[in-house]
Amino acid sequence: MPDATDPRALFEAHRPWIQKVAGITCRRNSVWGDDAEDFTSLALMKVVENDFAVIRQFQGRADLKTYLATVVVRRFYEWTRERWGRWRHSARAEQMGELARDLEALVHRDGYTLREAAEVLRSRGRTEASDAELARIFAELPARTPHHGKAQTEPLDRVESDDSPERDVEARETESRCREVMDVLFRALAVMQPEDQVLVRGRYGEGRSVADLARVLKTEQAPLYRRTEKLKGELRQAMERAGVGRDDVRDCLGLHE
Amino acid sequence: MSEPISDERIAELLDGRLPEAERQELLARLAASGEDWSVFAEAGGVLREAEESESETETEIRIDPPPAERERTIAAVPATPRQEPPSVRQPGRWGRRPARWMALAAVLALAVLGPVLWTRSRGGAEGPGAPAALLASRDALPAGWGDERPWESSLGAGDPLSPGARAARVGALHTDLAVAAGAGDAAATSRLANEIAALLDAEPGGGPAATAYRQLAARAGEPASALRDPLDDAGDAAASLVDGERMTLAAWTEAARIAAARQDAAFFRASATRDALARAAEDSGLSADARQAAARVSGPNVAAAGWPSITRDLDTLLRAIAS
Repeated sequence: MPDATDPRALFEAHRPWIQKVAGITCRRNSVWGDDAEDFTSLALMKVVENDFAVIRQFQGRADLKTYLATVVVRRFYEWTRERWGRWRHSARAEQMGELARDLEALVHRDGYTLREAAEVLRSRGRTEASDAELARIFAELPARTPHHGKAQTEPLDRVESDDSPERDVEARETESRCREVMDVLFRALAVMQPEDQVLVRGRYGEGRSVADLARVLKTEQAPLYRRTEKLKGELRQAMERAGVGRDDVRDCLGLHE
Repeated sequence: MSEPISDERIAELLDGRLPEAERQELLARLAASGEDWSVFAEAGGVLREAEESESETETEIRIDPPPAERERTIAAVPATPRQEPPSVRQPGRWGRRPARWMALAAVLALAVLGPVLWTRSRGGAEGPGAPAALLASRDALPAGWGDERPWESSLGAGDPLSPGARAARVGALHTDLAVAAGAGDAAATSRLANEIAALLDAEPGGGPAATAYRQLAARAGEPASALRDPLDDAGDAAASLVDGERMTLAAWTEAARIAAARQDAAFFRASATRDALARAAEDSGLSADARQAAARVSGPNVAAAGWPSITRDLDTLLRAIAS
């Protein structure tokens, strides 16, 4: 058994765990191959650097594995920000699963064409689907603005902005309406209990699974299905009472995506 | 500007080691924060997967544990009795809204305004069209599909279907219809649309929904892209008429049956699939056999059970839902 007071021994004992957590984090976020290996190395270095400062700072208030997992995930976000800027999967891709997330990342984050993305996924053994099948999956995903100025891809058409005065007025009106809509939503969220806020943001804002949210809240999974549906109903009622419709919200997405 | 939340503090929260008042305070703070939220939420998901795989492979890294170290597997976590939390109205946190919040809020608002509306966004995640949209292949239905259904097809005279069973059959057939229409199978599209219409005819007020499906039948053979919106419209109409939850559950179960026939493992890994089938495992309206079957097919490594076993479980589930 490693000495609990020896940071190096603890690191060595938990090296496989750190590697596992790094690997899972990469896969969940559509990072693989050389990039995933790079990050795993970085994750290990993070724990080793400054004479195992991460472990020496640990005060034992949590489980060491949980703490190390949190450290790894934070380092992952720092690394992806350095590498790709601010990026995350759409809620729709989260709900559709791994293949949709991978496609979205390859095309919108990494700048591949759809055909190139299909080749990458097949060559890595992540799918056997045809180009046509992957195109259908991709078509279900929301349009994204190009990331880091990378080339746009079929089927995303962009209309050049029109700077006419009429469009300025229209955009201002939409922006104003959007803020009203969001005020309604945020007021409804603000009066919810904190656990419910976490559920709403995770489930409906980001498409996270109920299983994940059960672990986040350290609670039983089964009751969360009804609970999240109930919360959705409450928010929906709040918006309907305020006269908010789907078109209002779509306009907001067009403004702020 | 508030202090950043330390990784150990987040870990304490994820381990359930905070006193209730501190837990609520920290949850409220995280729910309204930026990167700390992402770390918290993602770490939870990563831990779930890591802990599930560790419990399956039974490999553990052991160190001298502190006396208070807890069992890590989620199944062993006792439900913590919660006292009524203090009211935590913090409009101030939500009042400070960086621009990035608007995109998040818009996505959230769209999801909340569903499912009918969400369904319209081409096979949205919540409506009866969603399951078919997740299937990896756009091939036609397997040969002979529908010749025999898991549910009891012959009912005695004067033995009407229960509302739940009717809703379930509509849901399952809608999935088949979505697959057939997507594959350009005109004969199956027409047959299935008419079959659904006949079911809806028997539903009080079912005329408009039945008409929507008959109109779809009349357009069988048109390109899949042309049928997508009418299919969603018909599904929305049916879902607003019958037991929408039962209809959606059956739609997922039928899609899973098709996925099993095609050995489409990715379908079963999708969180939407697992969530939908896991709900059935907790549905007290189903038999114990059906709930157990649902639990098996919604687990993290379903494919390991073997496709024949998965198919049997799904048949059991659909039979229970639709009979």
